[in-house]
Amino acid sequence: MHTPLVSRRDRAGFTFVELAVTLVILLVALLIFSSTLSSVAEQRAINRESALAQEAARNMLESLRSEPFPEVFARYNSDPADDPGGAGTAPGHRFAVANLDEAPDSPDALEGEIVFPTAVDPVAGLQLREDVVDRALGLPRDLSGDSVIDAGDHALDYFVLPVRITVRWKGRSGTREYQLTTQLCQWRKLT
Amino acid sequence: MKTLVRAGDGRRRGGALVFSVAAVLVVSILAAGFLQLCTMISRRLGTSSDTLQALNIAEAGLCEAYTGLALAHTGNVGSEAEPAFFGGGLMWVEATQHATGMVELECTAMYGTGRATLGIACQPVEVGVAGLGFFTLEDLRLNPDVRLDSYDSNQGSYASQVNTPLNNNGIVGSNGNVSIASGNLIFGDVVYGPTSKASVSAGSTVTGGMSPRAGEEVLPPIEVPPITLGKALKYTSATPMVVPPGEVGYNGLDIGKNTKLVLKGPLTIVVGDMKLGLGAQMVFDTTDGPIEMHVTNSIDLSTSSLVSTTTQVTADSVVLVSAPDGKSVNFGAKSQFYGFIYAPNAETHISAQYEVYGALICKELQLAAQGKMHYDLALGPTIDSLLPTLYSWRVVELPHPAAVNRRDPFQVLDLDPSSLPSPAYAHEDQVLDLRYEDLKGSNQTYFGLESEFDWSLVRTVLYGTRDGVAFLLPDDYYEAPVANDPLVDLVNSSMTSKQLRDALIAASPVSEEALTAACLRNPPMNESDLMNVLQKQGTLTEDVLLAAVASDSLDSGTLRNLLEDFSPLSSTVMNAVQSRSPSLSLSDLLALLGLQ
Amino acid sequence: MRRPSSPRAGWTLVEMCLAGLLVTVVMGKAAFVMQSALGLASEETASMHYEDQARTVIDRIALAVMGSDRGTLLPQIEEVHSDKIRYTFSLGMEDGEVVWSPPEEICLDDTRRAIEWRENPGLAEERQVVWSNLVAPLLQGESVNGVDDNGNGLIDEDGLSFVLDGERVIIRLTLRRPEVNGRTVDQTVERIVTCRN
Repeated sequence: MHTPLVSRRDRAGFTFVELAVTLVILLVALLIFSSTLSSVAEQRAINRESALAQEAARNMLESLRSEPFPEVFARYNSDPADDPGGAGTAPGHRFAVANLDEAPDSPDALEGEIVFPTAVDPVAGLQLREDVVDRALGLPRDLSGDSVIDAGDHALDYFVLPVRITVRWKGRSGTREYQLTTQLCQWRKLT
Repeated sequence: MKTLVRAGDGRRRGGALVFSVAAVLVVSILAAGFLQLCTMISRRLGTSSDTLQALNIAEAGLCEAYTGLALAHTGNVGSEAEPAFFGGGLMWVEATQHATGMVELECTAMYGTGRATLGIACQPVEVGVAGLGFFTLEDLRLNPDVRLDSYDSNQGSYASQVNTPLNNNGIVGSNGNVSIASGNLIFGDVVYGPTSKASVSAGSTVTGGMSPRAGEEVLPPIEVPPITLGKALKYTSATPMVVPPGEVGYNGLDIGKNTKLVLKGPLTIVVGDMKLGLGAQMVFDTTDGPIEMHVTNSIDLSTSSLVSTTTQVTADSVVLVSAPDGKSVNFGAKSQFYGFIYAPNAETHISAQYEVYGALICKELQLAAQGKMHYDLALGPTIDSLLPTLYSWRVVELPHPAAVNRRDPFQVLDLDPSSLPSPAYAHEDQVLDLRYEDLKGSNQTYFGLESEFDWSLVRTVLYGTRDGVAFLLPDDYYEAPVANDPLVDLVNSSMTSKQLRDALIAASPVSEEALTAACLRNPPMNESDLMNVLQKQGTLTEDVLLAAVASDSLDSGTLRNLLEDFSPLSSTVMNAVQSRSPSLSLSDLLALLGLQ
Repeated sequence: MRRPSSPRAGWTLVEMCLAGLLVTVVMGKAAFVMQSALGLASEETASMHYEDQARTVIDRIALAVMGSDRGTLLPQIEEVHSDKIRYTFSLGMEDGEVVWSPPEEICLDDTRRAIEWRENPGLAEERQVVWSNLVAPLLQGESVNGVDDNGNGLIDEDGLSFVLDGERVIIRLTLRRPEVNGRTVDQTVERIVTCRN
């Protein structure tokens, strides 16, 4: 077989250009890999924040369930004057979540909030109301069992209590929020 | 000059690229692996979050169905075809009635990729008749000087609630006429039969309203438990007879002279003839549980005997007398009885010394003069008392077939969330029989499907049933809002000045509102009567002094004597004194001014 | 024919050294970066994995306790921590009556540092399943010294602890990852549960 003759200069091997191209490709691949890793790290931080918020909301809701039902609203609303054990003795409607930073618009540097269907009357103050419009909470609806939706305060005679727990924090990717919604009622257990 | 070599060596060209491609592949695979793990964990966290949301929506659905049972709903809320919208997700509740009376509620909730099904088993309660208060099937005639009032055992003792609004919610009723004799004090309402009337003698007081009931009350028969009755027993030993917890029956039980019977709860006891002899005692020991006593023939508690209860829980001591008409039902003992007496077939005699705290329902009532009965509001049909008894709560492992698909639930079920009802409006449709007060204050009625009724027309519900089951009893014995200070009602009643004086002095110290009302009463009290009341109070507030200044009962000299005791007076009171019409005499005014 | 004189084709020694040095430096750096990145990625994903595992386990425990009857939980001593909890829960209804499960127990096996679920504990028909291993011997921040080191009101509590507080059951869990470069990394979760029965 007759093999053609070529220039020694054309002899195969790693030329500098090939080397450079190879390195560039490798560097690009490493760059992509690094960005993937930073995404993973970022995602882990986001997941962790979400998990903390979820945990805090869930635990707060369980704490509400463990309280005597007629006292839940008084203990966890924004009015300290109606606290069952004396003004200011109840936990109130705001709570902190460890390892989360409060949102920039937080009024009190706390991340969590308990929301009931309330309205503020200019004279009577904070009221638990049936006529508030909040579709996610199922309102307006009868809260006192008299089958009628009125404009009165049902803080003392509710028998169903819709509630929303909100955790709002400043996360890695901006201000984020997590909400849990449910209804509480008095359970008459077999004793 | 070029040097030529064999070309075959060119096959080594491009090896660097192969190496770099291989390296890129390895790096890519690693990156993909990490990303996949990260994505998997993130997705799991998201599903966990959605599942938590679904769990809480399911709990909300169970709440809705459970409390709905207390309002005579069926327990079905929404359906798979038209679920209820709540909290950004959807849910529906399926109710299953069991032959034992238990109701099983199962709520399926869907939120995002989360699914939850929760179930409870509960026993609905029937509306008790104890909420009738003091009630007779036939005409009710009260003897003179009887006191009937109320209290709430959930909020403390009777003594702590005397002369408070809770004392003013008594209910006295009948399917027939009601006669209030002279000297009777009824702190509450009188409800007579639908075609009957009430008569109130002079000198009696009813602080609440008097009205006919919507319909005749039908009392449920007594179901005597099938306990084997032992032979009749006459007990005369000095050692107390103790009936232990459980179930026991006697054809007759005669507790002899100066002997003692102790009934220990939880106990169901059936007696044919129950008798307490002279000086005998019967103790309802409800410390460890309730006692239900069935008397099937006669009950005779002699006047010198004693009946007591160890606790003040009125629901725990129940005496059910199924004695037929004509048999003796006589509660003559000395007692402060905390309990409920139900004798729908008998004429019941209650002595003045048998003080009932709780409720009493009978065919006819003979309450001796100066008798006292105190209705316990805790026995009334409140919403809480109508809640079913919860037996169990569980997580249902096997999901509803519709919940298996983990895509967006609104897509899975092909639903528009904006068109779904909220839980309160998703209860199963029922036949509604309603009597209500509309927005203009007129009484209206409705009968038909609840889905076709506009609840926004209703201001107050007076009475209602769903599929024939009452969810709100007639307003004659529904738990009314807490009333006024009963002493204020007394002042505004037609009592004579002397009677009012005696009542207020007996109740001293009296509230500021009652004293103010007494000062401003029309017709005014006698001067001496009002002064006696005011002087009995000790300290008088500025409002009471102002009322005294404005009172028509007090003349110049009497008012001066009263105000001297409280001088120096505030500027407000002094201004009122100076501008009083008719004005004080000059000497009285100067005397008062001199003391300021 | 005259043999042509060879020009400067091929690599000189200097070129070869330079190229070798360049390759070595670059590849070495690349290898270093790869190794660090791989290490970081491993740690990140391992952390995520253990956090996820801790949450999953406590979800299972919480769900089991949630469906139990508060009055039948064992031990019943309030405000003292325990590394086990025994309970029964409702299985549903049969013939109109509520059916209750056989007793179950969730406990910490100190030897294997594992969370075990047991059905019919102590009986012949006992069944066991390991729900998680790598449980820390003590809760994060705690050491055996008779003092509440981590400020949660408990003293020397185990890596899995249950505390009864009124109607609430507080569950705390610390998973400890295998030692990384001589240091331990803990993942702790805390859950409050109210018994529904």
